[in-house]
Parts: sequence; C-alpha cells; structure tokens
Amino acid sequence: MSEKIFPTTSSSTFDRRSLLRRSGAVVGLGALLAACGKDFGGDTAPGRVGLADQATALPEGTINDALVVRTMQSLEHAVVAALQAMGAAGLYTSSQQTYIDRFIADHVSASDALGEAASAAGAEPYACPNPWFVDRYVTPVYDAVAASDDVARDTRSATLAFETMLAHSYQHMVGLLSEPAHRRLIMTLGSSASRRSALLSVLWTAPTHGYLGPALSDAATESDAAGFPIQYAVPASFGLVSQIPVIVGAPDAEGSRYGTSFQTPAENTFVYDYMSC
Amino acid sequence: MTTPKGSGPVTSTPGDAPTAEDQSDSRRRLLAGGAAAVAFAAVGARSVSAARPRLSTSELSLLKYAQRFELTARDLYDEAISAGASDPLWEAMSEQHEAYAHGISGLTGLSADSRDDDLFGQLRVSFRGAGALQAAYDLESAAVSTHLEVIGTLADVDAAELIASIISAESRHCVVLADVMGRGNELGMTLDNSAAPILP
Repeated sequence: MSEKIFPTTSSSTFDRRSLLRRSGAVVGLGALLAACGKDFGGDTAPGRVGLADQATALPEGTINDALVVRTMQSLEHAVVAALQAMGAAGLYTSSQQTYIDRFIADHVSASDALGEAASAAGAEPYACPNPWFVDRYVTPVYDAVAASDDVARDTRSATLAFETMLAHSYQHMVGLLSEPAHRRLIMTLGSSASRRSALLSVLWTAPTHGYLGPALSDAATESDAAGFPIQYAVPASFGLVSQIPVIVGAPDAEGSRYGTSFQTPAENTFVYDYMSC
Repeated sequence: MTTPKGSGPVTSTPGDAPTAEDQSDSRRRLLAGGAAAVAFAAVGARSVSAARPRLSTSELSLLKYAQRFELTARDLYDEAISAGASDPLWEAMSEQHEAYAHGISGLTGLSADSRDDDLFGQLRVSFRGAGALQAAYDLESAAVSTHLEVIGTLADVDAAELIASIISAESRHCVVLADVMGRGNELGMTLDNSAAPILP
C-alpha cells in the first residue's frame, strides 16, 4: 500500500494538458473576434425597418451681420404683433394705448432701418414676425394674459417684458456683429428700446418700487410680495443681456400661473439666409 | 454686483468710527472693483485669450476719451451734491459713471485718473443751479450720442460690447431724470434723443 505524500487538490488539475486546451480556446476566440471586425465591404449604415422617408439634412446657416440685422427685424415685428394683439383685444387703457401706438410706430421705423441695412448687406429684408419667438413666447403669453384674473396687471407685465427683451437683444447682438457701422445702428435702436423699457418701468413700477434695482439699492427686491418679478428702470450699473422672467395668467388648480423667461436670440431664433417671409 | 449700502468697513476699531465720507469712499471702491469685474464678465472669455488682438492706438485713444467723459460726468454729479442736491439718485448716478470709467480700465488697462477739465468747466455751473436736473438729462443724452459715435468707430468687439452696455444704461438714466423733473409723460423727453455727441 502506497502512501500519498502530497494530497490531491483542485490546483493539481491545472496540468500541462489543461493549459494546452485553454490556450487553444483563447486563440480560437481571438480569431473569431478578428473575423467579426473585418471590413467585408458591405453597407455600414444601420439596418432599416419599414418604409419611412429618408431623413433630409437641414440647410447650413451662416451667422453674419445680415443674419443679426434680419433677426432683430423679425423680433421688432414679433413685438408689434404682441402689442397689436393686446391692443385689439382692448387690454390697454386709453392712456396706455397712446404709448403703445408710439411704440408700434417706433418698431415699424426700426424695422425699416434694419431692412435697409439688410439690403445694403446684400440680404433680403425680413419684415415679418420671428416664427420661433411668436410660437414660443407671443402666443402663449398673450393667451395667458387674455385669460388672466388680473388682465391689467398682466398686460403691463407682458408689455414691459417684450420691450425689455428687445433692449437686451440689441445689446447682446453687438458681440455677433463685425462691422462697426452695423454695431452703431444696432445700438441706436437698442438705446431706443432701453428708453421704452425704462419708460414703462417709470410709469408702472417706480411709483411702488423705485427706480433702482437690487444691484443698486438695498431696498429693491427681485419680486414683489405676491411673487411677480419687478422690472426696474435702472436694474444695474451696466446694461443687461440676461433673461427676463415673466409670470402671467390665472392661477391653475394648484395655484400656479404661466411662467416663462424671454431670452436674447440664439441659434433657434436666428433668421438664417435660407428663411424668408 | 451687490453693494451693501450703509455698511462700514470690514475692520474698525472702537472710537475710530468711519465717517459718512469714508463709507461713501468704501462703497465707491467696491463699485469700482465690481465694475471691473462686470466689464470682464461682459466681454467674456475672449478678453483673457492670448490670441485676442490688441486694441489699436486709435482705439485706446478713443476709449481714454470715453473714460475721461465718464469721470467728468461723475464729478459733475458730485458738484451737484456739494451744491445741495440731496436726492440719493444723484449719488447713484455719480457712482454709475465712475463704474463705467473703471469698466473701461478693466478692459484696457488705462488708469481712470483724469476727467476732461474743459468739459467739466463748461458744465459745472449748470450742475450747481436750479437747472441741475435738466443739465443732467442733457449730459446723459449727450453721453449716449457720444458713445454711439465711439461704438461706430471701434473694431474691437470686446470694447464694443462694453460701450454697448454703457449706452443701454445711460439711455435708461435719461428716462429716469425726465421723470424726476416731472416730465416722464412727455414722450419727446423720454423716447427721443436729439442731443449732439461731444467729441474730442
């Protein structure tokens, strides 16, 4: 009877024969993977299921001075559309309508100047409302204001926000322009927009909240006691290009009102050269 | 930019309380620093890019003129305050214009150390009298027209953006001053600017 000096363990199964077998499996798997990665010259596009139309690529838009001018022209018309809609619905008092009529005349005059600049730059004027801005802001804001529990308050808020949006947008667009003459035109119109915005603030918010915003006065607050944002005549030391908060409309079942923020133009708002009225 | 009104210096010793003038100076220093920061923020990251082209000599000269104009405006508002104008708006306007001068410093490196003495001398009396508000309105309107000429000359986009932000703010000043005069309902005062630029 022989005596086992070294007891059998699981590690003892890793012998020369097993090593050869496993090496063979590794080599075989490597060959399989290499074959899968080989280019056999077939269609590399993802498989198609069904008969849907092929996707069409969007046209390439060029950002240049003409685009800036055309975009601002379209925003002037968008604001005109908003003011005219609120005026036609009788949302303004007779004294307010005096200002609004002057504002609309200013917007039309600004559009004419921008259209001339577009033509001079070899582009087609865009004398109609910006479609993206109308869909995203003008229509929903107007709908909310018209159905509000305080139409007078919300008409003031919306009008002020539209004019302030133009002021911020003109200033913002300066950084996208290359020609100093275009910058001068844009800020001439931007100055007028700032004046209209400030005038509405002076008339509608200054009597209660003062002229100076929170950046300039400790007494000033971002919103009133009811939570509505306050647009000050002089909100900060420098002109702003920030978004403009708007809260309008009747409260829903949970007490929330329609809220949005007007923003300065970006790629989705631009009026590209392939767009026309 | 938030500036605590009426707060004293960070450190103080008993018996050495800051005077109102000291507090005003502290506030101004805060505003100046804030203005430079805002100017940098306004022009974005481009201003710190090594590849950013330098301002030309003529642009620097023009911006220096604009800076001196702003310091002149600050001193004219201070002149009105020293003559008895007590509305806090006067001090706010003075600080606004100092902020613009420091904003130009932040962009260009030009020291905000001198006003336009000739312009100051021409307008000083009007800021000390009963017509100070009208003089201030006229100055703000002229400032807007002047900066529109400046922006129409600048090739540098960062400088143009800074001047644009000053134009926006000073346009608002005009409306506020018209309202303080009791003429906020006059659309010709609030919406139109027929002032001629004041050029070098």
